[in-house]
Amino acid sequence: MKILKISFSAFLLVVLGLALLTPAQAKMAPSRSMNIYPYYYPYFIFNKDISNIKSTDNVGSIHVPKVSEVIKKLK
Amino acid sequence: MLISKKGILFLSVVLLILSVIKLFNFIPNFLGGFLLVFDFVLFFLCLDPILKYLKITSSNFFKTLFLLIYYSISLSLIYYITGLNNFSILAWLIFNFGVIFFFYFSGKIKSVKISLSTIKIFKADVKSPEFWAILIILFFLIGYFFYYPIIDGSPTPWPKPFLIGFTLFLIATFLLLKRLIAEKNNLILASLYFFLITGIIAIRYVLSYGYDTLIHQGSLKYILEYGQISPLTPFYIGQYVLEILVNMFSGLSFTFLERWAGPTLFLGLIFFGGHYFLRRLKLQNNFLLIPISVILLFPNIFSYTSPYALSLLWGIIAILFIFLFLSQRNESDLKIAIFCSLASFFIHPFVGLNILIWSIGLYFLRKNKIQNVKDRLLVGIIFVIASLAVILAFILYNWLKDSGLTIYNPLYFIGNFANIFTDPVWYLRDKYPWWLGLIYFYEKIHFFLIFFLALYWPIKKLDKVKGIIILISISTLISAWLFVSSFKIDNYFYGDQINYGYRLIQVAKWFLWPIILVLLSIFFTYLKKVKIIWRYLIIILISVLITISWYLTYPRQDDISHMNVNSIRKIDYRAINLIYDNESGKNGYVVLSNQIFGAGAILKYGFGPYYKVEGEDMFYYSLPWGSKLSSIYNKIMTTETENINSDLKQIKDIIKPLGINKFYFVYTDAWSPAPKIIEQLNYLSSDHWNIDNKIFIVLIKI
Repeated sequence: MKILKISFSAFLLVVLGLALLTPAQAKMAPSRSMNIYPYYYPYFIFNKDISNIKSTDNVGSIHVPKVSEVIKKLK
Repeated sequence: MLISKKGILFLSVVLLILSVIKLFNFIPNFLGGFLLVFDFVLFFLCLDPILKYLKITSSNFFKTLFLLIYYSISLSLIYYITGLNNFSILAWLIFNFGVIFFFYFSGKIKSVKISLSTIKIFKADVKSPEFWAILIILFFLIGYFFYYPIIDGSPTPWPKPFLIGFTLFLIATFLLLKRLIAEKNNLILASLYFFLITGIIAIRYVLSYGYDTLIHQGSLKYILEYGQISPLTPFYIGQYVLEILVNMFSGLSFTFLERWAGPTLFLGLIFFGGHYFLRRLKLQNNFLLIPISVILLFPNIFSYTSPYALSLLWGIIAILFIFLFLSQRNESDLKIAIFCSLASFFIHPFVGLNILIWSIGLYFLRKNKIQNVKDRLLVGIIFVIASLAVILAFILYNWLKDSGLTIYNPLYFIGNFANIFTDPVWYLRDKYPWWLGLIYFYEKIHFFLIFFLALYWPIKKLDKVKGIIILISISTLISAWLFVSSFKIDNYFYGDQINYGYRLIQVAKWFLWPIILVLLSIFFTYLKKVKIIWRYLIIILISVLITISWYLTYPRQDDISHMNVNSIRKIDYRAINLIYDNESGKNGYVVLSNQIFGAGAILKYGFGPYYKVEGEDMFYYSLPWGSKLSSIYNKIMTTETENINSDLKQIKDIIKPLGINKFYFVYTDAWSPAPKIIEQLNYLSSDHWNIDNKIFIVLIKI
């Protein structure tokens, strides 16, 4: 239990440390940034928006074939 | 008052007949509302045989929970099988009353004694000026918010300036904390305080708050008319069915129900659930501990109107009962926890799945004391399954729907998880006073503060229980981490994933609530023994912290937070009506606008028309956020100077093949495109309207 406690505390501290690195100013111009966002929408300070990364990028990603592709192959 | 067995039979027959008559609208709505309450009370009185069969110790709180869950789940099943209409509800009612008749004739119903136990609300302290001072402040503040409803879509419910309001709140909090330490318990003061803390959105936003609730109301209207709505989404139904039942009987509007029914149920059950929990643990159970623990646990949650909140409610009640089971080993508690988790799962699997796995897992381990290696290993397995369940279910659900899927390394993308804790886009840190910076720093570290407090503050005798509860919370936290950093599914924005992750974080925080409640209860008992000077200093400090949390609980507009309008305004409906009237209906055109207008149009004129574009349904307003029209609209709105011809060509390419040759472009004073873009739009327009310099509508024919 102690190991779990310590390791998880360390994990959270890393996350807190990263979160505190918020840039001092907004990245977008104020007039355009106050747009109507549907939900909570943070700055992407680490610029690692997953949707922009392709499966060919060397970040240990695995592309899973679509169900329809699998069915096609099986047929 | 004693009701004999025959009396119950007589009541059942009368209520059944009246309910049937009401369903076919032969009884006025206000009587229908009462009828629904009477039905509930009758079922409540006859529940004992079922609880006995399930081997659950009977108590009023259990019975209330059980019945609410039964309503939610049974009506959801009916929704899926036949849809909701007068006849299916009639069948449901006949089944319920049939169960009572069955119990009556098999001799399981006994006479019921109803004792309206007098709650000593006022006690002797009505003579204390302190009591009246608090009451007057609370009434004044609540009255103020009621007196000034928001219809202009103000992004914040806080009036500006509101210094007097915050000072009064601070004074009331200080006096209440003083009473708490003196162990003076008063239901009225505590519930009014709770209402003031959490109810401001419901009180002030008479036209509904935010975007989601408009869609919910539109969906509810549709279901009321057609019985079901497709595409059939498993989310939300558990709440919808309750709202439709209430609407069918009482005629209360869905706007009213979305605004009040959800919050009332949430706050009511949290309030009495927390009190019941502390009483069972034989700790100081002052009603006031509930609002204080909630506000200290939660800056940042302010809206209890969505199905997510109702699902969360059942998750929270489940965790209270898991805590009670682990500390007292009464199996009834665990069974109630399973029922609550099921209800949570039915309403919103995001919240429910995790806690459901824990309750079922612990049920299998109910005889074990979780002391040896084998038991700990089993708990570890539950932990792993619970941590992975939400994302696996989400991935599988979407993969089976033939969505593209890519899996990533969550450690590499840990920064995405940290993104959840960073500033939202509407925070600008240009120039602000130091004290405001401090308040926002508190907001930022709040989650970690609470987590470390729960993790490291020992609770005598209950430390092992605390350990399991923290594990449950951590498993939800891990789900949040994996959700934002381990996969990508086509059709979902990164923003969607962040939003879901954020919600899971809130769930993880709520799961710590029983621990915070116990800690606060012990702390305030201890504070009684502290020297008076220190005691007062600590009370002042906590009062300030609570006032800050109250401020942070709702969206703000100050030197850091610059939130924009995100609720429908009264004037927005004028624009929606204008377009509808100008076209004499909904066909033959599309509308590019911010999504609040689309949601308002759904509420006013219902769903559809939808057009098939590349195999997908496209709504005639630029909705949802991820739709093609919406992304073009957002691009035009956020560009500074570029020529928008290519965007217009894109619109043309989408709508021309559908036989549509015109579209409306709508922008507002709250969010308008760059001046050069406005020039281009006006140049191209074949007609345009200006509504009170607040809404601008441009009609473009192509």
